[in-house]
Amino acid sequence: MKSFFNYIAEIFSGVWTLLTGMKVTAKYFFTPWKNVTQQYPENRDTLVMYDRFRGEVIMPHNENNEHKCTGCGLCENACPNGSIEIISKSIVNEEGKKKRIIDQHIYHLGMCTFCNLCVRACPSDAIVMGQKFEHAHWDRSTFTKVLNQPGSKIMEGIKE
Amino acid sequence: MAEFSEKYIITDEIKADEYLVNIGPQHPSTHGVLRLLTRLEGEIVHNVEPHIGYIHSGIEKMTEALSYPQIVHLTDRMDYLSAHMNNEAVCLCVENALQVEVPERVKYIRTIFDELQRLASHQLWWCASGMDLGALTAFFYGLRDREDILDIFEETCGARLTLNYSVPGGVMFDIHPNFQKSVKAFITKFRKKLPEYDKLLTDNIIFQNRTKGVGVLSKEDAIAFGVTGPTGRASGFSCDVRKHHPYSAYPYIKFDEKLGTDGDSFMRWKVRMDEMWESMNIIEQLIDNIPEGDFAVKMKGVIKLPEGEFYQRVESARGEFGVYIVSDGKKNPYRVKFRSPGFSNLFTINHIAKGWKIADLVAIMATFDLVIPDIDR
Amino acid sequence: MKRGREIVGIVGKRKPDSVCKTSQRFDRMVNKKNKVKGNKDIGLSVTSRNKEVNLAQSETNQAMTNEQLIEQLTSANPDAVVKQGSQYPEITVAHDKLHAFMQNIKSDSSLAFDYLVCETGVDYPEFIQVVYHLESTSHRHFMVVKANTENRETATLDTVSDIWPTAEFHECEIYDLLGIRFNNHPNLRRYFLDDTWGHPLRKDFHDDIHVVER
Repeated sequence: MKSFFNYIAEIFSGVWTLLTGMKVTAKYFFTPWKNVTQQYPENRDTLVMYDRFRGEVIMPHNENNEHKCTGCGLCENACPNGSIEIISKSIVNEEGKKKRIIDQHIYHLGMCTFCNLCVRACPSDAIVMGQKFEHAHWDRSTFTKVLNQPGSKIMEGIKE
Repeated sequence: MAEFSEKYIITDEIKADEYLVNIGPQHPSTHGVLRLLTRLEGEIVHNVEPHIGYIHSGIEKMTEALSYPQIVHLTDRMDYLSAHMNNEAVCLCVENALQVEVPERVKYIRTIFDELQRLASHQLWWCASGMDLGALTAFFYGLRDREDILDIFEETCGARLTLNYSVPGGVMFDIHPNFQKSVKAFITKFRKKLPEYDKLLTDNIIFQNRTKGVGVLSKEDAIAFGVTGPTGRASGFSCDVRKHHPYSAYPYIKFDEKLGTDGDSFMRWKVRMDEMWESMNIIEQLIDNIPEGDFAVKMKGVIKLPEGEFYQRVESARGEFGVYIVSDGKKNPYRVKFRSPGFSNLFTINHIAKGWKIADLVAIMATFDLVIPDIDR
Repeated sequence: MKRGREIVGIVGKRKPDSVCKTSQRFDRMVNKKNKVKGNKDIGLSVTSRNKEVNLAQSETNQAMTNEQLIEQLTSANPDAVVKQGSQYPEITVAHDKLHAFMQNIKSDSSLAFDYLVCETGVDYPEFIQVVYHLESTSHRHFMVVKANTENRETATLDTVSDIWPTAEFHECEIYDLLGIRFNNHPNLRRYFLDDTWGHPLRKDFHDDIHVVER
């Protein structure tokens, strides 16, 4: 007889625990404004990433199309995946001295793991992490980028 | 390709009533590409043989060609849910080898990040294992609260999952000016949310019936099989590295090591739920007392370890994580071994799942909290 | 030497294990009193290891220093090579005496290395070394044991999987990646790679198809 009452009590306590769980879900069901879902593709215009967000490596240029990269190759050495290649060229400056400057700063986005080691290694802060994160593309070849813009020069006053 | 070899498929002879079922490699309850070769009689599990290596990435071999700062970023690809602990382990190992003393501020920041990462990991475990056991609502609730931690991570170190925040000698950036405020806000919020977790699942009668007494692992077996972390502690095996071999800021704070007694699935569940409370206590002790100072010491451009062997253990969200570095004095290590907690934990499954039904096997798997890249490395 | 053992013996009487058991019993009592009541149940049924227990443990830690540990091990095994100045006590055992040595340090109550933390292998030019990181859960001391194989070509070593079951799986991994065959191993199979692969963690491993070298 006792076991029978236990059985009934168990059923009721079981139903009670189910109802407590349901209460939690019901609370959120009837207060949908408390939910945190972001309507992602629609809110693109207002979406702001955190300023330290690591989306891709970029090289900022100023209005005169000048960058800070000296082509020293420290970022190439620091990269664990080989996603940065520096191609430099030698030119003769006004004083008649031979000088090595950067020709192309090649960045393979597809190999990058966004570890930030290249940005840390850069002595002249020429490369920074960008905010763009929508990198999906149909063609893999678009992931190979040249970071310095065509015709760009090195900014004055940057130490070699 | 290799010849189809018999030993990969069947290790013992199958008896008349038995049959073999492959669970995985693609199965929701295996949490990744893990294949469990189960020998069943009806619904009863007779033998489970885990087959791993589907996503083996050869990280230990890769590290032999990389420098020490570069190794750090690979470690958060192993156990991606305790990425910061893995980073920290390598950094501590390098710092110990070079006899570098990091500033107090770094120790505090690292410890707070450890505990935030543990919270995030346990939240994901909670929701994923709830889903394994048939409670789909849990999945959304857990991920919703985990989002707050990931936002804190993103604000300070720019990444959500693969943080790469620790570097040898300190941390990569100083904490964000908002860091303390947002962590405190998260904790007050999560202290209200955690009782909801209990209401939803822990007190639920269906859930309790599915986990209580299922898959008992005794303390002796836990030690013998090297089962660490909350899984081992649920069996009463006191294996918390934070307590026994304190590192970073853990010597300065007071916290309890949660030990279970029964070692069944429900106790594993409870120990993890309790660890979440404990993690919040640890963060609250530290968050207001972060000392001023540098966030990193200046290291040499090329880090070279002295010749010798170095071992560093940390407590990751899944158990004891170890880094063993053999150095020959060059800038690349001679050999690196990562002792991953998941590897040791996984192989107890045959021992404890024997004799249970196949649905119980899923419950056992759920409370083991396996991360497959951690096992495969 | 004798003194060291004495000290261990005294401390052995108040091992943390006994504390643990009483606290477990206490917890069960508490559990019975406060039967299933929401949150509180969780807080109480899980044992909190408080500060006193840890103090007791740290005392046992100091009971046997690393020097005493090495002294006891070397007196029992005079052939073993001890490395000085390393991070942890480190001892190298001859490959034919490995199994007996391991059996001894597990069963000896003053050593009681019952927890195999990590087992791995390192490839050296003349031999392959297997490294065991061991911890005692009762005395909380930590030790590294090393064993070298005779040569690299037919690298074999005795298994320790009958002493620590976890070694069975670590040894499979070592066999896969470094190619050491373990004698008397119950189920030695390759975990990660196919049969056609070599052993990638060996230094002479070359693979032009899968591995890109810079």
